[in-house]
Amino acid sequence: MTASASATKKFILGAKPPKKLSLEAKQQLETSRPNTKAIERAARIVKLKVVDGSTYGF
Amino acid sequence: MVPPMGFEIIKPSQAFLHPQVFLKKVACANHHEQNYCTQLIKRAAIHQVRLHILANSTDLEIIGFIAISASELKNSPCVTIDYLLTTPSYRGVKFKGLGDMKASEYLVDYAINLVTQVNADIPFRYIALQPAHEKLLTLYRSIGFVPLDKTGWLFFKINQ
Repeated sequence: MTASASATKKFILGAKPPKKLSLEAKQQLETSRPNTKAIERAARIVKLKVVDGSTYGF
Repeated sequence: MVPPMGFEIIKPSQAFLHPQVFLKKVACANHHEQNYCTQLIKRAAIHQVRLHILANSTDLEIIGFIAISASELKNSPCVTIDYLLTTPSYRGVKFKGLGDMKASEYLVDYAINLVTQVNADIPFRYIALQPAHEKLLTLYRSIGFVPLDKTGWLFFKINQ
């Protein structure tokens, strides 16, 4: 997903999460809890102004 | 040493979503990254993905960007982080103006916050991503992403 000088062959831009999941993966998704600490951290940190790019010619 | 900077998040206009225009403003480390950016801009131009650009608010230099789209994971709506790029000269740099975070860390937190806010109106249960490189696992795990079994994907749960 992220830029790197040596991206792996597996990485395909625009790939979507797998539809077929193992039992373990399904259980992981069901039993895990929302990461409230990280959600709260992001809410605390993210304060930047969001601007329309056309204002700057972007 | 990077001097103190102010930052803004820029939502690019449709006119900016042309590979040649975009690549004049965004520095890439190599042709792989340029190819990814070219593909991404084409997808952004047809609304398959949205870009959120982190820029220096003084001279409008692009520090990095994150690209996100809507998807599905285990029959639940999710947001996919399609791509994240930090301009080569700012990789590994922590910025005071970003709470002593790297641009990549900030952009992922920006996406988490955005999805959490949208989730109040449109349900999104997960954020998912596929790291391009194993060494990026450390970054994403430190932010709160969890490897999804042996799929090569990571997820971040928003909603129970």
